[in-house]
Amino acid sequence: MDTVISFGPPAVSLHDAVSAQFHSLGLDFGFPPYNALPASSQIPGGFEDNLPVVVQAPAGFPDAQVAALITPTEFAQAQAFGIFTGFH
Amino acid sequence: MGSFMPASRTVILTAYDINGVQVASATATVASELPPASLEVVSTNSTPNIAYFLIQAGENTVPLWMSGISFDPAGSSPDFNWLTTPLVYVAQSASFTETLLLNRLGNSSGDIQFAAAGLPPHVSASFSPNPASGTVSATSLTIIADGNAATVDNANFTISATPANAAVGPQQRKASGQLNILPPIQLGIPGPSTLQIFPCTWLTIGPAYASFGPGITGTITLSISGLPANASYTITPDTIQSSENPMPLVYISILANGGISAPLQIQVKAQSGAQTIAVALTLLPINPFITGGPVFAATPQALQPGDTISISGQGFCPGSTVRFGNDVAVVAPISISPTEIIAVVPQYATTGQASATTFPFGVIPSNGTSADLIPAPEPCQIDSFRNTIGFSFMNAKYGTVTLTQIEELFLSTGSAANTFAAMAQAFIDAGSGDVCFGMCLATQRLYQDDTGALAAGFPPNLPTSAFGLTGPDDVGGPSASLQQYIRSQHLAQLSEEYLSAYLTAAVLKSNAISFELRQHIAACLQRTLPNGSQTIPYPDYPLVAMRQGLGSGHVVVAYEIVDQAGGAFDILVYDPNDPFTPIPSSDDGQDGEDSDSTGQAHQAIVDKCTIHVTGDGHWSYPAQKDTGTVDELTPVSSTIIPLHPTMLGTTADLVIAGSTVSLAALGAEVGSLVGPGWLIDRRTSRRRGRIHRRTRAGSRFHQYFFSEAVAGWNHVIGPACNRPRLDPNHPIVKQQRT
Repeated sequence: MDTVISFGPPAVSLHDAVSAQFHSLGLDFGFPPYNALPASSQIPGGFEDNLPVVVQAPAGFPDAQVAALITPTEFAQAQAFGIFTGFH
Repeated sequence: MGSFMPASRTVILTAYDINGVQVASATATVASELPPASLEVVSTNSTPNIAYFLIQAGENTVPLWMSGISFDPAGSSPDFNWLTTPLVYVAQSASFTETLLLNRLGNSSGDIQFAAAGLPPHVSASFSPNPASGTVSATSLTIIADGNAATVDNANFTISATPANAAVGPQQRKASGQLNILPPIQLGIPGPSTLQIFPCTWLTIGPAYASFGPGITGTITLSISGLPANASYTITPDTIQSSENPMPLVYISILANGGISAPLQIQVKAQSGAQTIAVALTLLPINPFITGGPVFAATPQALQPGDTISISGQGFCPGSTVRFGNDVAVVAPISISPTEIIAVVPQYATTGQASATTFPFGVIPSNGTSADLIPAPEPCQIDSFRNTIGFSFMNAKYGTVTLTQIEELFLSTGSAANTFAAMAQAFIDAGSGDVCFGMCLATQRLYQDDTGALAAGFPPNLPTSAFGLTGPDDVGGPSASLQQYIRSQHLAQLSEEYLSAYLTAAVLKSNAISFELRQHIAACLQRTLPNGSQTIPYPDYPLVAMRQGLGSGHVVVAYEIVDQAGGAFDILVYDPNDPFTPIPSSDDGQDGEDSDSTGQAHQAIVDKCTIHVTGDGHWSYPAQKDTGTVDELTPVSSTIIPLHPTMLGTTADLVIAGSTVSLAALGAEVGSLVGPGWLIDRRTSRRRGRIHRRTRAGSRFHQYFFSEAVAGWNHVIGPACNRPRLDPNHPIVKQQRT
């Protein structure tokens, strides 16, 4: 059975940064382990300080909360990096 | 996935394996309108291998949101990798510990052995636990730097994690760390290492910082070495504890009294126990300088002796003096700071003359001489009374009495003027003929003429002060109109207004004691006049008549009183016989008062033109080599003489001390003192460099009405300038300088 993660209470609250709250379910949000990756890694560089943040869901959406992707700088791409505790 | 922006945007989902290699990717378009988009990535590998994923907007600054994530059950292939890697800052003789995290995947379980490689000499590493057993996914790394370990900055080293068997992972995983080895204590001084230091001025350095290396505790003491004996310093704070958080900023100040003479190497030191670290600085000497000034305090007319000035600059030391144009005019300031000097312009100040190597005005450092002068960027103009209100040319005869002069002064013509002319010729032309009274009065007329209209009538110059008018010694000068004017003003001494005031003072002996004389002059000099709603200082410089016996006299203008001990005081005067001479005079060989850098020429004339009054009622005047009692000094304001005064006639009566006195009666009274018929005519010629005298006793005395009576009051009034003394026994006396 698939594991389903949503960003509602009690796992996370409004304005929480999402990191290890879902570790027991097999997923963390964090940053690429750049120094542990070989040179052949294709994960883009410069990923830092942008964990997803729990916000109020847009009007009309059935869930009360969603996770907003954060831009690390003013002119950058919103992004989030997930780390599984197992292979999928 | 959705977007907070209405326009359609792209979102990308990318999956990676444990080595960061892309496994799969999906793209969707999202907008703020519902429903949101869904993205799905699937690995095509035979076994599950997605370890990481990245959700990313396709464009910059697009706010996205995700409602949830779903993924299938994890595969069973055990593996692991470093989740965090070390960034080490460690001090020499200290250690550093950091917990490193592992990511065990696929039910990885068993020992993982850790090791570090690539560390510099005298640096070691250890892990705890080592190995990490079971499902433990963290180990503590400790780095120890010995005291002799070299400092390094961002050096790379490698940590490795080796699985015990396949149940832990398929292969060794390596990661790189960064190592920084720092001194036990640190001292940083931002900014240049070479600094200029002014004499007597605090040099502020910093803010600097002093801190402990990671893992070091204790106290840092700060100090400076290498300073000369005349220097001092402050360091705030001068001790720092390792417990302080944050570390305080350090302010360093150095003061070199008298400055330094050559470049100087110093060291700022930080010491903690046996550890000492030093930062070398080079101090360069820099000479003090003047940036501005003098800035004058309020004065009635530019800068004069007695004025307070301010000089701004850098590097002024206690003991400095201020030179005003010459060596005699060097004074100690009334206050001094490294950046400002306040001083009073001394009596003998002059503008001076600058050359390529000498400057007349500036600051002389302590223990220095004029050769060490710190020059001001601009000259200091000294506008004393003598070189502004006074004339630049000498007192001389400048012609004879004419009806034109009488008409110009008294607005009188006809027989009355003719009669007066005869009398005036007898008094004035028959005497020395010089016109000290006329010159003194003319200077005051010009001074009181704020519009400048009066001076404008005396071409060729159109100066801003009487001093700038063309003099008789100049080429083409003086103008005939100026000569005529001076001579007409000279006749004003024979006006009823002046004679009444003068004789009143003489008869009443209103200056019988020194204090009264001083008060009379001071009252004039301290006069204030209304100016709009304010009252402003507006000195009225009185004419001072010096009676020299019964038949001689001189007139000068008083411009300053300097009190002395015991009730004595000095009256500084403008004497038309001694005009201010900026450059050497070819006439009399006098040194220039501005050009003489020793100041002796200027000092000599100022001293000479000073009436010294003692507390017991006596005076002496070096310029005339004369002495007397204070009742023979009569100060009279020029303002009591109208521009067109009343001409003295044969029937005129003078109002003396409130009583009307007939001219005849007065002459009979006073003339009897000396006897009739004594009058000496004297002519001079300075151009030929010697004095000619011609004596002519009484030859014109019997003309017309000029009787003994008139001769008598001539003796009394005295201020007819520089007349030889009328002495029955010695009819000719040595004449003073003219």
